[in-house]
Amino acid sequence: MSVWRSPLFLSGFLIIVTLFFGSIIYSHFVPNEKQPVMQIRFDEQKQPVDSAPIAPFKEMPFGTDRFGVSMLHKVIDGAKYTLGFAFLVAFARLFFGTILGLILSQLPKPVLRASSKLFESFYYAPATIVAYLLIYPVLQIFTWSVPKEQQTIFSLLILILIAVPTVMVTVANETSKFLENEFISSVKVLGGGRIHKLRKHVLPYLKPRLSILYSQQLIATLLLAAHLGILQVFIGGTDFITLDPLENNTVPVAMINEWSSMIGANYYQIRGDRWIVFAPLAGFAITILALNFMVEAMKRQYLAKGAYTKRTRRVRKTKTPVQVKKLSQEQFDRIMKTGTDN
Amino acid sequence: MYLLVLRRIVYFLMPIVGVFFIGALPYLFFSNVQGIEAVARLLDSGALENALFLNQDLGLFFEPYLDKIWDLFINLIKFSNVTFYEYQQEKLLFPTILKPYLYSIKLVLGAFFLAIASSIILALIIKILSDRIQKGIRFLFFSLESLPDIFIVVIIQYSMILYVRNTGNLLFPIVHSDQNPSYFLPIFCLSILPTLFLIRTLLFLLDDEDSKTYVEFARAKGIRYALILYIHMLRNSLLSLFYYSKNVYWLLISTLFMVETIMAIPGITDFMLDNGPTTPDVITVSVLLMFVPFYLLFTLSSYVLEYKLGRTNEEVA
Repeated sequence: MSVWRSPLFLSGFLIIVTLFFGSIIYSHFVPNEKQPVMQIRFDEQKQPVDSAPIAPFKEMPFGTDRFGVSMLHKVIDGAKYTLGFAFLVAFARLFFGTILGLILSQLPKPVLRASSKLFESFYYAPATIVAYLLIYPVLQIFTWSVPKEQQTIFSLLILILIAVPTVMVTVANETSKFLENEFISSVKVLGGGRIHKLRKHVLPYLKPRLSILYSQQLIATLLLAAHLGILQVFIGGTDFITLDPLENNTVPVAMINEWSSMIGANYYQIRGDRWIVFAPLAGFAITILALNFMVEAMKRQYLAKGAYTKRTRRVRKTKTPVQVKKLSQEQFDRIMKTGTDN
Repeated sequence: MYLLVLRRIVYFLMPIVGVFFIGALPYLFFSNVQGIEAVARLLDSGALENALFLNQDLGLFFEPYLDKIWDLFINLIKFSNVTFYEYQQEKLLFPTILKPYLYSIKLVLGAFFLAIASSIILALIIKILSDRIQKGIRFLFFSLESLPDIFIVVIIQYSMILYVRNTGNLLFPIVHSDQNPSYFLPIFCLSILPTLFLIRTLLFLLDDEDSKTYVEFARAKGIRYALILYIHMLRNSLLSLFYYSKNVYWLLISTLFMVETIMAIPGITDFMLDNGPTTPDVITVSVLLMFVPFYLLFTLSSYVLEYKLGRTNEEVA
């Protein structure tokens, strides 16, 4: 049974695909210039009753932010940036991690163990803090000496590099464990070289595991992005808007409708106008839930016992109780004598 | 024999060395880390308005990186103090860091024990329910576990606010202040994800235990299932649960950061975020402080278990 038939996987996959492509199509028809804006709400008598930010379920389905832009529009429009960014980063993490991991698995055993122990520390140091430590100075402290493009590339690289060691060690350990299988020594005897082993045996084995790892890295990237957003490090780039010129009240604003920066830029409003924070947070929650559904379905499918060998469909037989034979006296006597029925 | 012991020790020290490599990472990527601190000083003293002039190159600087790691290593071995700069004064790291550190340790330990206790109780309750209800509850818990930690913390904080608005009395302080330190709510928020994780793991282990012969034998003797579950199966699976404490620690640490940021708790991660960019040594020391006690405890007890039971922790991922 392929993973595509599992309802858990399908529902997760559909949610992700709808969000991503729906967002692209939506922003094709409703670009940011035509975004729904409502700064003042009027009632039936054309009397102004409310001003932005307007609460949800009153004309605007998810309310508006403080500039009067519909939150629904912002969340849908932002999905493509957040998801696209996560797809990109997770793919790069996996790509470099797999290549390095395959190389690492070919090195002698002590090297493998020592490096997997060494990189275990990446698991214990909270990734958010390390990422913040490296990205925050570039984006906020010495912004002047580094050009804008270089800042973006640098922060992307950091977000990728931060998880490469863990992916690398996971892949290397899986591979070296797999290479201990008995049939691998047969491969060696029959003349299969290193490259042959990796290509023909390891990669097919790793493929389903890599797809699980990819989804997990997607989740990790999304979480990291959300955490960095709370710390005012915006992936989409930061702009500063001065609200009251006299009071020098400057707030950081994200340049694009990216979810994590929407959370971070508006976090201070959570006690008053909570929907501004809750809308993108709900987006994150739904996406991560959908991804976790996919991971769970794939785990059930691929990591079950004997998943590497070809699986035959197992039909569960309903056990019917053995029928009690009704024996005549004659048959009974014969069985008692000869031991068989006929 | 000597070689074996030596290898053990090297493997044991490796993650700790790794922390040094992580803490010094800014020196690898930035050409002028000291400059950040200098500018922070000048900004504080009012000599500067902004840090726009600061010249910094990005790239890979291996030499200062390795130098820095070595320096810090020697410093810590000699027990000499690290200084950092905050609010116009030079501070010594060691008495200053202890206050946030102890606060965070209290939160983490509290959450850890709360998670273990509640997960065991809940798992045992779930396990004796009927199959259909069990399936539903397992799915519910799995979905809850998938929620991002920010979402959980924000929702809990907000529901407390709603409760105050409707009834007028505050159950637990939702934000920390020095007069009114908040303990229960952060511990509760911290423990949710580990609890869900532990329940899932424990149920998995108990399911595994179900098919073993001693359970069948005990049931055949006519002992009630609940009794076998509480006494024998629980005891047997708790040992295996120990090997998952690494994941629990990791969950706790990553959630701790979110809880401290959102609830304005002056804990260790808050300290790291405040002083990390100017003094990267703070990160190394704080991560070591959080990590080494747990790591020592975990490794030593896994050695003891290995010695007593004759199995390695390799088989448990």
